[in-house]
Amino acid sequence: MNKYRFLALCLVCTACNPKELPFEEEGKSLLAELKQLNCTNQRYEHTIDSLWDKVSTRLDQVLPDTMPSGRRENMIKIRNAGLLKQFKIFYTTLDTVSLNLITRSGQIDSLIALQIMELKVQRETQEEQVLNFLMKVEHQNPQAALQWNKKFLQASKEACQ
Amino acid sequence: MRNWLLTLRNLAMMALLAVAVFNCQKDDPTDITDNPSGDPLKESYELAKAWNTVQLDIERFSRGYRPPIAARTLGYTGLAAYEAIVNGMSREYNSFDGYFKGLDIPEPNAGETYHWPTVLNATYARSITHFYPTAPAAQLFTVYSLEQDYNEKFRFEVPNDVYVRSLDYGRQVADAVFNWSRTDKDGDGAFLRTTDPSYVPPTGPGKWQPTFPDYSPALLPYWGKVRTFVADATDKCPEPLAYSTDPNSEIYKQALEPFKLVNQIKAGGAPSELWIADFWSDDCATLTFTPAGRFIAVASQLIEKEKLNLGEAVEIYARVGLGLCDAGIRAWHQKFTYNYERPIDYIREVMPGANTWNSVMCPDGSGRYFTPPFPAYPSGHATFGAVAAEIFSGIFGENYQFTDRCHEGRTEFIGKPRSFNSFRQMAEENAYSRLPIGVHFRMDATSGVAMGYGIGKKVNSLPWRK
Repeated sequence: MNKYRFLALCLVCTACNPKELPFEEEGKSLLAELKQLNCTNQRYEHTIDSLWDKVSTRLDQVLPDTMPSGRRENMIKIRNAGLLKQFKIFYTTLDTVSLNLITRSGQIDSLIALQIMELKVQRETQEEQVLNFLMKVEHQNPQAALQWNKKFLQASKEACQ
Repeated sequence: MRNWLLTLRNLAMMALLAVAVFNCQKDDPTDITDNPSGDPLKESYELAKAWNTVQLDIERFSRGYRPPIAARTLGYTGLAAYEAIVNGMSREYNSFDGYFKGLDIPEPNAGETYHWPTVLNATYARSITHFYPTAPAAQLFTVYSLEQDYNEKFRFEVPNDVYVRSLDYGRQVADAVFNWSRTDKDGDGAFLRTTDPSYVPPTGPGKWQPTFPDYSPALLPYWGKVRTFVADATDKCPEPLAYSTDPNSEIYKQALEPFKLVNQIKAGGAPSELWIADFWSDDCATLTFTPAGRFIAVASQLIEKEKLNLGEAVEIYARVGLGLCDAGIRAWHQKFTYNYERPIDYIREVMPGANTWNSVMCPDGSGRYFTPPFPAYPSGHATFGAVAAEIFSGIFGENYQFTDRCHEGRTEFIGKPRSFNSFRQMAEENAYSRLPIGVHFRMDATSGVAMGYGIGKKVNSLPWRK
């Protein structure tokens, strides 16, 4: 292989290979952290969804069919213990299992809401680190900063298992 | 021949190389916008509308956000949004930094570029997080998702240093407005104390007392002490009608209106009145946004119809928010000044054979209906609607035709859109709606509307524009 061909091959490899991005180690560590925070967020979201899905299913089973359909549909859709209590006349006639389920779901919802707010602070701190990192990369190589930016955005959209 | 072939091969290799290299450059830095400031007077209204829609959803589902509290919150979040971008449109708009006593908004760095949509997105997200600490988890997810969606978009549109600076500035503005709101001790954190166990309503003929069926204690009896933006003691209502049980008295005649209308509705008649009553109700917790939030929903429709720019949209939300805040404070001040009883108590006590009469508000399906747990005079609904109408008239003109579609498609009540030839017509219909629903006298509606128009004029007189 002559020197021109070798040079050409090297150029092709470096142009297309994302592994060659600068600040590789730091970037990867931030990516991992971002994915972890996102997965925690998705886990909370899933917990909340399944929590209130159970309540909705239960209410659909126990609320009388004689209840006005609009009111019934509304009550089943409400994913909030405090607000469910405002359906006073129907709430007070619910069986103990349903009442306990609503109360427990409300408590868990409040706890998760607090954890979400805490997570939000962590995500803002992490976002700050990512942005500082991107600025550092940008000073050396604006093209690489854009590629890193893209990687962070992809990571933030990835589904977790 | 060989040399010629070699040159040809080398040229082909170079061409391949060029194609390979350019194909890999998907993230061309020239993709970044040429106008990194995102001029609010050129950007679309959509970001502001999206956040206000989310805010109405949070207001609907967060514990303690009863109408006057929701109105106050809309005032502060609207002001924060306006202050966040006002420096990006300072050629036309003024900041209220220092205009409202104690309001201290941080200045953007002189000579540095900001991306105003990023600033605004950060301000909305931070403000809503501050102002709705009781938001359920599902609503918090909505807030954070919306913030993230816009941030992901903006991070590709603007240079990194501009993006970072903008994000930081937006959060600073939100913090500044929130901290200022906290200096108003009567309003701060009110969602945690909507009633006051120490409050004892005055007694006497015609004085308000907790009403059938649940006899809930007075909602926010001291709300009149909360700090206003523009309204003051001159924003008040005339003395209500003298209480009388005489069938020839004016109050008796006024009580006949809700009495007869409700009776007609319950007998399956008066379909137009039922539509109006249902359309404007917005009283039943979790069913819709609050009666104050309703006018943010109307503002969103007007903004969309007129395809306003981001700056104009934020200005309207701020004006309406400030107006609603003050409308709630003054209406509650007057309510607990006069402590006038609700039609349900007057009718039950005074009208022959009506001692089981009830409104048609918020049916719970078991035959029970409700009455708001605070005095009647003046109507809060009327005051909220009139302040918004006056603000809209100042912006779009008095005789503006539009259709309110904010409950279109709802099946739990009559949400079929209604059309108006002017904002005043809208406000007056909204005020009137409290009669067929059975919770107000005509004087409550009339005085509430008059007071609301007055407060709206004051909001429009603020030095918004240069």
